[in-house]
Amino acid sequence: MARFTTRRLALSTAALTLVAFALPAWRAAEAPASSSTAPTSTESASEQPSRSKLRIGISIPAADHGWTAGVVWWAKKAQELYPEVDFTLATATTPQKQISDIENMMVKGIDGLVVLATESAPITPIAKRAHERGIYIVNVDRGFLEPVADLFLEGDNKAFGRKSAQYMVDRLGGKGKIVILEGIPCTVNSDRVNAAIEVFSQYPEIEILGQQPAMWNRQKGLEVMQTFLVKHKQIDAVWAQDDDIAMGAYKAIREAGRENEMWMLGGAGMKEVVKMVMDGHDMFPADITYPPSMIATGIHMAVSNLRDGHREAVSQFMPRHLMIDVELITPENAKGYYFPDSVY
Amino acid sequence: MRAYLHSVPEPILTINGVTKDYPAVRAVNDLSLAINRGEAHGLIGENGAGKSTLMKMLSGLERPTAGSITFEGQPLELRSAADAMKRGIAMIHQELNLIGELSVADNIFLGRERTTLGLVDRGSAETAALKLLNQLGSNISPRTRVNRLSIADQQLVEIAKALSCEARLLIMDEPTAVLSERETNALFRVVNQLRLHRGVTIIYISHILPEVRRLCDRITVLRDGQYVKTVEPREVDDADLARLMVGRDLGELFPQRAAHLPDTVLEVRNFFVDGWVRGAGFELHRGEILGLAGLVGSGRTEFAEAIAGVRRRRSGSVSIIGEPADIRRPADAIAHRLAYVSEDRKLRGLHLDLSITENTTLANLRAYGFPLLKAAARRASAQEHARRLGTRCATVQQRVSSLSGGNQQKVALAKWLDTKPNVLILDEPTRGVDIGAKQEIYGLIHQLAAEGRSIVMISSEMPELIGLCHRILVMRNGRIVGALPGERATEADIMHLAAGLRENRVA
Amino acid sequence: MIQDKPNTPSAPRFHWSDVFETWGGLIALVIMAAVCSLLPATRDSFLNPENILNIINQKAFLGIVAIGMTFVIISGGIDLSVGSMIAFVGGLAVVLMKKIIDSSGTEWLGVLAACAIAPLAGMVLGWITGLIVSKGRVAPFIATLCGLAAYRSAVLVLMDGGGESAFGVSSFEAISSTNNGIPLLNWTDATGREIALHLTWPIIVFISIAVLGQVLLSHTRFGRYVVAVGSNETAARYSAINVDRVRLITYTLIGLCTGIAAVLLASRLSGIDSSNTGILLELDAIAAVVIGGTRLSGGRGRIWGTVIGVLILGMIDNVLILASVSTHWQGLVTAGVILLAVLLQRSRSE
Repeated sequence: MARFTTRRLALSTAALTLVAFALPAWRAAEAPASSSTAPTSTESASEQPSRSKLRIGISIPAADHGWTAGVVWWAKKAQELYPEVDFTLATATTPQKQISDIENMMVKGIDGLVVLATESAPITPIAKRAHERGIYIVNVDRGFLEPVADLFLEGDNKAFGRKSAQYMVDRLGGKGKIVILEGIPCTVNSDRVNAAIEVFSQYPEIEILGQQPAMWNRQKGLEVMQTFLVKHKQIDAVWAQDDDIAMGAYKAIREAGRENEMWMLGGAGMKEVVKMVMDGHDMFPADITYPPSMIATGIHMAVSNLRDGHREAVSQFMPRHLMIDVELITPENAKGYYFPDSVY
Repeated sequence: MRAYLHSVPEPILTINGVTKDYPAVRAVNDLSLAINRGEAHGLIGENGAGKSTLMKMLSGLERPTAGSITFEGQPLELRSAADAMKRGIAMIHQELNLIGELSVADNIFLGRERTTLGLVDRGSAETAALKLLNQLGSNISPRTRVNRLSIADQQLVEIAKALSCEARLLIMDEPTAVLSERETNALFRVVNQLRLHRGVTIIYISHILPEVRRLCDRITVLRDGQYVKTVEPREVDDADLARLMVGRDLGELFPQRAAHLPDTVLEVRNFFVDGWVRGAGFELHRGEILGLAGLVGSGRTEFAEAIAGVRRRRSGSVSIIGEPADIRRPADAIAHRLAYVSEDRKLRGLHLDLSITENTTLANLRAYGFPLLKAAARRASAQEHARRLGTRCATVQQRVSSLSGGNQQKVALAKWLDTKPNVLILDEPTRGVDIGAKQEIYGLIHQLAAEGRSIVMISSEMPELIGLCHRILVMRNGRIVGALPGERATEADIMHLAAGLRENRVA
Repeated sequence: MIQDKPNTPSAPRFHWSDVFETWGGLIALVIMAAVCSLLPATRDSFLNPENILNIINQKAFLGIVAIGMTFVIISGGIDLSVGSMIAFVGGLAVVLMKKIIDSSGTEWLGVLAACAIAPLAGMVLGWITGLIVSKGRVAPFIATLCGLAAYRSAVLVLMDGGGESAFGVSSFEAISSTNNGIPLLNWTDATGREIALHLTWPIIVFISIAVLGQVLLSHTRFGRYVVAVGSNETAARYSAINVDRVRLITYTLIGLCTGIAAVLLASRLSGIDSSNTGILLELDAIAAVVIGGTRLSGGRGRIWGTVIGVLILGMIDNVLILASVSTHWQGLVTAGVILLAVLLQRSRSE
């Protein structure tokens, strides 16, 4: 009796696994076949210029906080615009996985690669290898350590730090006690924080009470803010640099019942925060953009620069480094930055 | 109260042409048998005779391939052990099915907890448990955690559990294998009481023939899955039963005693083990078989384990062939050519899921090459031991768990013989082994002694000590309280010493 | 001696479940490989030498750790600390390497030191875990859970929450480079570019350790003792086996494996990041061991099975990308494959 149940269980799991394994692969195989009238893939595999289908790999970090979730959302959104392109999207939690992902894409044979690196140093060698193979590389947000990208697209993190700090100083009237919440230790974070501190240090009456990493996530933001609230009797403003952190910290402040004492400045333009700015919320007088949609910009660039074999021609005028400016969102202009159907 | 014993025999259970097939074997073959209400029915047979398969079918763990079973006039079609319980059939397994971390009362009502408003009603369960235990003549507290009880008391808890669900048929599988003489007597009193006063029918499975003859009204012998004969105890003696079980004449159970040499091989002096042994010692001569008797808890096993370095001793010295031997770890014992074949094969003796070869050579791997082991040499050695000991197996690469108890015991023995010991301490070498295999093991022990090895044999079965040993030492409370010459000792002599009714007779 | 008993057992009967028990992992691997080389989405790219080498190379680090894990699990233990340990010993090696290079100015000296430090540090940490488990009688789960927390924290402290980069130390980066190792063949990839394929150092080290591990497990005294301890610790003790020492050595061994893997991983990642290097490595390693047919409760297992388990895990990641399937499917597929492999390999007696 028991034996039969086991055997049946084993067989059904086997069948399920095969289905789970084969189904997505079949689907993926059929989708392009139905959408294109091109000849079968086998004969077009080797001749590069005449190959009708452009293959582009997208390698980005997994959605571990709101901003990266926004990146994933925008990446998918951009893919939908170009049904004629064969995209491979992979999200990675660690650099190790990201390296493997890119290697696997290279085996598959991609013409272009859009990368938002989980970390700069580990991804540089693999990007270099891809570049040496002739793959067109668009690097978004986090830069490589060597100039291996054909196009580097980044948000201006120094301006981000500078503008937000200046806004905070102005609103405080050049005088007050603040705390700084940092992100995951990396160049993006240090560029922002250093630029901000440079501004704050010009005003002797601005006192920085504390400075702690909150890893760009809500839970950390909440925990770190709770500690600050216990430690400091008076806090005038919170420089949180990221809306996820800001939301976490906001919760801590509300729980402590101190929402009337202070206000905060996040960043990146999460829709909930933009909405609060738009509605004139007391604690969120402004926000600063750092759009996750820059991945979509990168994908668009890769597609349009490679399309129709114009790569050579385009490279003659296309700049290799594009900096995306950051803007201050205030109740007056918030409407233009509010995307209710986005995840971020 | 009715006296069931004298009423007209009326079958409570009828087994009709039952067959049970497993993928590889037919375990029970066209078996028919009727058990009468209120009787104690003995069921004997060698390992593999089909007893346990039959019992599994009666207790709902297996279903017959063919044939039918009728219980109390209704066909018995069980799908689970719970079904069997509902029909009033309870089984007490050799390995008790109690949960050690729960209390006695919790165990008795496990799965049938008494609840008030959804909460377990401990109080009423404990009262009910106490009542049941009192009926069984026991004074165990229902609140005691089961793993604090002796095996005998745990068995009583199992019986109480069976009674609590109004069992009318109680199947007991080797219940006395782990009990002392006194505990066995107490158990028999309980069983008789259940039978006479409550009309419970008992099916009693055991290897210990005198006990079966003592307790049961009728005895059925099975062999190779088939019914052989049902007899009444007074018609037969142990030899008759053994013959029926094995299917041929066993001849003398014990080999002819041979004289041993006078020189001392092992001298153990003044052993103390915390909580167990208080100043025990002995001398062992070349080629001698020395029996070590005593009740469970007398410290026999602990004494042996301390000699072999498995257990820590507080003090005591060992010398082997006149040389002092400092044995502190099992490896020291091997170095001094002393081997201890442990009592509990499954727990301490063997690696059941490893092969015969692995087990046979495990304690002596140094002899098989370094750094790489020679697989062929290990296999050859295992084959040689299996041949010599008559281990029945298809290949030596077979897992030990697939062997019968007697053959497992031979593998355990082979493992220690592979270390080429001069002194062998055998702890209950025939426990759970059927009569045919017992006879073979006796032959082996005799043969090993004849080759000049010296043997200490610990056993709870007094006839085998008397039949086999040159001398018998009796232990009580951690001391050697007497020594008896093997050929002249009687069970009564041993019992008297073991129970403390008489002190040292021979030094 | 009585030999004429009628019920002398015949040779054990043939059972499909016995075949699956032994070869289930391999069968699963072959089935998966067959499916992947037939599916239209993957048939061009899956069965090509570059891809096969990629899979092995990507999982070599995991494989080396999993081989150590196999020993620990067979002996009845578990090691949850390897993920943190690989970050810590790898981090230690990279930090010290950079110090040595900065102070001495000779790169090879630093690289050599790094290659020695990580395995050594791994062995020492493994040995300490072994002591805690065997002498301290702390359950392996608990002892190594402490390791998991402690080593991660240690590397965070060491690097102040950031990372230590080995970028630019070219001879160190070369260790795990795919352009290094034993040249195999020249290959034309899907886009028509010619590339030289190599048997990389991670692959060479992985295969060597696997072979050594299999020999150690099946053909030496220590290996048999590991099995005996896992199968029945009491019986092993009674058989004069020094159970504590066997345990101690298995943990030292996994420490050594983790240390070696740390060097290769640090080279591949051009450094170590204190917060994310090696995260969840322990679970992947345990999964590989279990897929390979090693019993989680110990007493039975095989190294070649673990190698297959590692390859199966590698194939799952690889094929989904080749087929342009969202990597979000990965967890579901992995779960299915683990269940399938374990159910196939269930012993009849269990």
